[in-house]
Amino acid sequence: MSYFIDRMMYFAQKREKFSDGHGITTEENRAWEEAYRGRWAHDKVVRSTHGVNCTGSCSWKIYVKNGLITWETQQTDYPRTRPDLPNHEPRGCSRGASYSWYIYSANRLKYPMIRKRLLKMWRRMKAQNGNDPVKSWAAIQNDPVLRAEYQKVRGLGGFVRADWDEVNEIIAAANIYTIKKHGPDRIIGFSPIPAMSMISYAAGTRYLSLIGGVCMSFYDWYCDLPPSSPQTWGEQTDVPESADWYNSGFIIMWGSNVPQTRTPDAHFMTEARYRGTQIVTITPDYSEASKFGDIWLHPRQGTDAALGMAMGHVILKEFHIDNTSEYFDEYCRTYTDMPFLVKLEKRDGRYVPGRMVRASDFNDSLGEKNNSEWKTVCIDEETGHITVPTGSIGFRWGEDGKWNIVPTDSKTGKTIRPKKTLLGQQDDILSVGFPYFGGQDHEHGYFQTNAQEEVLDRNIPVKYMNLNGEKVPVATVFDLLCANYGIARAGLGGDHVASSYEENIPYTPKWQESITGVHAAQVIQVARAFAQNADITKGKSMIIIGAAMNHWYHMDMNYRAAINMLVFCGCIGQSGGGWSHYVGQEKLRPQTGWTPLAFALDWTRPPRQQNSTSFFYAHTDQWRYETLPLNSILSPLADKQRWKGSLIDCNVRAERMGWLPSAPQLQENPVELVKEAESQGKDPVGYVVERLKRGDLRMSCEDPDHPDNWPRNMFVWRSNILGSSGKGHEYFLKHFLGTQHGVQGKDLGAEGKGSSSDVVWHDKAPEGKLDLVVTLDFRMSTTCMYSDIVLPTASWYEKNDLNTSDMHPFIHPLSRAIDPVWQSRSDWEIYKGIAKKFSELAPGYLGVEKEIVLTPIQHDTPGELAQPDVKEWRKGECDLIPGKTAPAMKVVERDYPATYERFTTLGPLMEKLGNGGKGIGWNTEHEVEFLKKLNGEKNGRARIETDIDACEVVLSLAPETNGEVAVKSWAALSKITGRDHRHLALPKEEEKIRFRDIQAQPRKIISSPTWSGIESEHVCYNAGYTNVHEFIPWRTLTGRQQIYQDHPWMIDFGEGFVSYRPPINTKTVQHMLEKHGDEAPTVLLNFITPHQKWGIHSTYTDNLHMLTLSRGGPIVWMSEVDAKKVDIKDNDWVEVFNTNGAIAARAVVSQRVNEGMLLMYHAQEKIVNTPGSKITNTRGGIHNSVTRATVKPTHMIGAYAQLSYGFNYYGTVGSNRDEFVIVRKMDRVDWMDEPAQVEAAE
Amino acid sequence: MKTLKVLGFLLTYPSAQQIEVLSECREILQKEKWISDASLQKLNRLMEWMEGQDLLDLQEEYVSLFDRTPSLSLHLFEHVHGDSRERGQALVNLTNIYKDAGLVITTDEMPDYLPLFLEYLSTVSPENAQDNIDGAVNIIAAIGERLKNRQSLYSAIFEALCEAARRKPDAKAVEQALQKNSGKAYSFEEMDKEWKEQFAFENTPQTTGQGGECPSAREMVERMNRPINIQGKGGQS
Repeated sequence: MSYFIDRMMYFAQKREKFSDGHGITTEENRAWEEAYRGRWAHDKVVRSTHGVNCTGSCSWKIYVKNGLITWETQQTDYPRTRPDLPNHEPRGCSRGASYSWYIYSANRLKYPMIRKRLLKMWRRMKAQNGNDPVKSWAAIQNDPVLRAEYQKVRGLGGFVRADWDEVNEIIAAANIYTIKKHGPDRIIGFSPIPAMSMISYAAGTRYLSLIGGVCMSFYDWYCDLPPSSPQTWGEQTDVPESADWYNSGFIIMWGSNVPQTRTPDAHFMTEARYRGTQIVTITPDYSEASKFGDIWLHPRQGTDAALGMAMGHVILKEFHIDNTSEYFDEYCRTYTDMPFLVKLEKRDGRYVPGRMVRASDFNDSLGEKNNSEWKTVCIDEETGHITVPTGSIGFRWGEDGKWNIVPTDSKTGKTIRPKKTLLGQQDDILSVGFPYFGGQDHEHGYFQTNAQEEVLDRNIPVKYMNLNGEKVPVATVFDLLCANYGIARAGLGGDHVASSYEENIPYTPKWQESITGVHAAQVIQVARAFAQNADITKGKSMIIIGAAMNHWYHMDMNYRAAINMLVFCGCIGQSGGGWSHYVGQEKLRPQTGWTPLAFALDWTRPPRQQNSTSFFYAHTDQWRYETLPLNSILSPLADKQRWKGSLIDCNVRAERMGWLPSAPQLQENPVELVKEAESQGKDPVGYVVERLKRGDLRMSCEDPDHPDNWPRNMFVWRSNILGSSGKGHEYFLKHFLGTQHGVQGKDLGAEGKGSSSDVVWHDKAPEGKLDLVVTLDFRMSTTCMYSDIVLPTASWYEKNDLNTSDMHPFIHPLSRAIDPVWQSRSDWEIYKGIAKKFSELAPGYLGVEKEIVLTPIQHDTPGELAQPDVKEWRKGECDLIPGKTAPAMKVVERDYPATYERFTTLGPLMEKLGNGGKGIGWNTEHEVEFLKKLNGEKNGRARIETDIDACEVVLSLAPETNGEVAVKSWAALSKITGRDHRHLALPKEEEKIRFRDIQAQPRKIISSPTWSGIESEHVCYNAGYTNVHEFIPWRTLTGRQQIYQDHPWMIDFGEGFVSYRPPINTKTVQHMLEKHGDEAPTVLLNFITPHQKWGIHSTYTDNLHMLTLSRGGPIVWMSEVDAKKVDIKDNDWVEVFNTNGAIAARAVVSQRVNEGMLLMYHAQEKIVNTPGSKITNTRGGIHNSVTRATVKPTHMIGAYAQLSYGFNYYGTVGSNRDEFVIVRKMDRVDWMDEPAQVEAAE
Repeated sequence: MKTLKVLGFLLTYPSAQQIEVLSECREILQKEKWISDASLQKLNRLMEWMEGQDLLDLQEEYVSLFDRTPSLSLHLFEHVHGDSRERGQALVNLTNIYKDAGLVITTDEMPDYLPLFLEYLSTVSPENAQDNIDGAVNIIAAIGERLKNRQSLYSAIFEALCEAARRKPDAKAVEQALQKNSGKAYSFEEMDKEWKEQFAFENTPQTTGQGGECPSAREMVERMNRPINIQGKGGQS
């Protein structure tokens, strides 16, 4: 009998056990698995990112379930790179991964909030003023008692919730009152780094620009702007993308902590090492980056320039003089100012390097009719003739086709070979003086000196030329440069030059030993290897440089020393080489599409833009406490008689000459000024000029403490200025806000040193300049605590926006994964709401108004040729000509009741004036028509109602995201250079990136002339690429990389050439030692503030995950040696103080830190676990409580080629690392939990 | 049971309207008698105090207590899940419970907002409500204690809720919560504790006081050095 039928063919019996009894089948209900399975299920995944202050620009998946955000993970769908280049993903770090915490956190701002005292008086005043909001605000402001009542409690709690309508009404009323009474330039707004959420930034600046308010810069204020970049390249900052590290053969990581502060990019560093790239790390402490280095150099912090000078010495000597590298030589002839001629001028009986020779210096201007004062000159090696090569800045304006740097004689059009050195063919050898600063003593003796003569005379080969009717000795930049670096050259002789590295002569490797502590042999080894690699690979040596080196007062020396190494070795503009400064700015790639939206250029031009450092220096009255005398930073070769007054006086001169912007601008209301002029039948500009000349109208900068010149309303969004970037925090509290503060020092008046020459001195400084502070945030930051009105904004997963970075070439979005929670709104909606209320309330107070707007003379405009010499109209040295010898002045018409209408539509100036940027313009009618169809129309104009509408405006107008515009923009540039560049974008002409595209996947941008690198399938993005490969000039005086700075102020402050300058004496410690030195053992330390691991600036530092990973509150790092001196053990509470204020924090005692250094990570929130300070009797401050901004005159220069003003491009910067602090152990920790005792204003 | 709704209502942001209907609240509490006389008295004191305050002062007090102090947060999951990732999922689950009951949230509030939760409980059977309060009673008790430590009359609401629960708060759990944050100022010892760095692993030399290398590494090395029993019984290959 067969068992065949009994056996089942298609089924098996359910078995109780299987696998030899290891498995068992059960029958119970398995519903419990639901939770487990459902745990990782979700309804949708939305692409977003973290959008203000992080360079990472990482795309994230946001998981949403039932309308709630549950978690986020890294996106992994970046477009692939080409073969043999690692991919970008995954990008993201622990900080980003903890962001969703903010959404529902107890720390989240849920409702609009307002200071109770203010709301109370507001309601009372409204009742008394017939419900008229503007009159009510006026009533509060006109009563000093009322005003002080709420100002004095800023930062002390006391908020109530309010509804949107009411807060919008107060804000609008305050703005209207301020415009009417003081002028629109008394309304300011601060928001940083637009690239990370462009629309959110633009929302506020669009509103401000429509009403005439002032947009404040951030890059310079953060001190992340390296002025050395505009000085050298005429470019704010342009850098290689991180993927290009992989193409490098030799990388110096210099003061940049890549794994910690460039976390998502650090994998490229690891991958480069696998590929064989040699890495040298230069950091003073044993930082996280040190382990990457095949060699780790650790110079004393702040002395990097000395190290850089010595490496430059080795490179110049070995690769330019002893054995000339052919590649370096050709590169430097073509792409640098080395062959250009410099006049030697007589000063106090010795020759010094002066102004660069210009075509206009010669009899017939060498045949140059246009801008001959701005055309630089060199000698053609082939013919020996003096020649004017094309491409200098004079060719950029007023003529077409000759602004390129193909080595060509402008007159004949023939190819030339610029001559680098006159040695061997000189008419004479002259001794020329160079200033030396390395012997200046430091007040605390911490920074070591290397004493030499104050002026080093060195021999230079010269030719005599007949210039302006005089016989003048001239030299090439290269010959002066070699002398400046102290290199002995055969046939020259003379003193102060070294033929051996072992001589202690500036700037040999031996010379720097005593200053930096780095062994000379290591310097030689690194410099040689760096140059050798560049020589073999044609420029694939790279320096990744961190803000650490840019935050010193003499940051330009640190940076220029490093930049010079790259330039000497032909690394700039070559893939795998170059200068990688990844700090602060981030690249707003679709820039020219965004500026019209952001600054309302579609409705009115020009907008008001202000450099924040000078503004805050003046208006938080930090200038009143200045301890740095002008003569202490002047070159020993300068005429000291010409430099009277103090730092602020230099700034005022710069403002009057149109070098730097001003805000507020004039002591009288600019709206009223136009009315007055018109009532007298006068041209308003002429009227203002006439009164300024007469002196009965003054610029506000001459008297910043006069109530007529105070800023009145301030908006802060996407920023925690008071908790993070506010250098001189305590001065902000005292003078700007008028509340409790910890300022310990006396001002100069009290010390009898009120020595300003150009600024009015008031014995009593104002306290509480601002009438109203409004902050938009998603969390209760330190700045919110000090504000009058706090508006809850949508978080980064609750709004639509755009995001780009300089670290990678993609544009990708922030997306609205969920609706803004509680009552929060996106920045776009918030400002739209304010604009609406403003428009409603304006009639009766403001209608269509004209006002006069002052703008500084701008870079990338013909104005940059305005002032070949420094002449001041105020001192009668020249006439006041707006836009030439003074700020440009323009009458602008504003339709105040139409503000909302204008905010939400694309204005007519786009069709009328076109669009453009960086000196190039193009017609944009086609894009405007397109936007009308895409976004829909409102009153015949393209609609910008929603944040997505706004994104589409940016994407359509920008060459980077609209191929058609890219081709137009390259065509426009081609006309000026005389070379066809359209091939860079033609293959992408039909490519148009829209918002939904980038939501689907990050998209690579299209090459545009806004940037100096290109996007291609063959090379990574690298700065200077189009300068080198397309022969587009750098936007500098010579059109080449500018190693020599010939502006008279540069020369007077000793920075014509790079050198080493020791940290300055801030003098903030002595007074406090006298006062508190006996109370406990103290130690003096240099205070530095690098970026941290547990936060991105102050964001995430209040997040429990990050607090748990760090130590849960403010900490400072110190060395074991210093800790021992004052009996501090790890985790002890310490007080850190000087005359600027005090900090209370825990000590981390670590071997990582050098003796003499106190390291406090940048921006730890004051709202978390900060006890009181015995010094100030108030709560301990933030890291900026012990700092004060000190401005530098060389950063004020303007109207001079690359040294002309641009927003976030040039201007004073807020350095802070030269500071010293006193550290002592705290004997008692006071948490100050009692309710605040605040006396109401009498 | 309207009492629960009233208790939640008293915990909402103070408004003129809220003050107006306080008398109505009193009546409901009186009528339902779901809570003891002693608690009722305390609640009456709270309402009287609310009526006597300037509205703005009342609002300021509310903001400083409930909006600005995480340990007094009225969002229950702040106390359960804190800042962990579980919070999002927990909110999702809670929404589902409301949905099952046929309720949809119409305001911008989160599902774990105590007044909202209490409103939901007022729609279900008293037994069900009590069950639910039982689940949250430790949190409610802890917030109540913290408010008491601050001498805030709002504590009355939390006491009443504890009373309404069948399960009494677990004294140990509440004690623990209070130890973490008593609502009072931190003592130095408490603060030091909060700041103390955690060791990554238990039983490391630092925590055990013994010298020597990392124990987990040691263990691993030991494991690796153990001879492998090739003829092991479980071996399948």
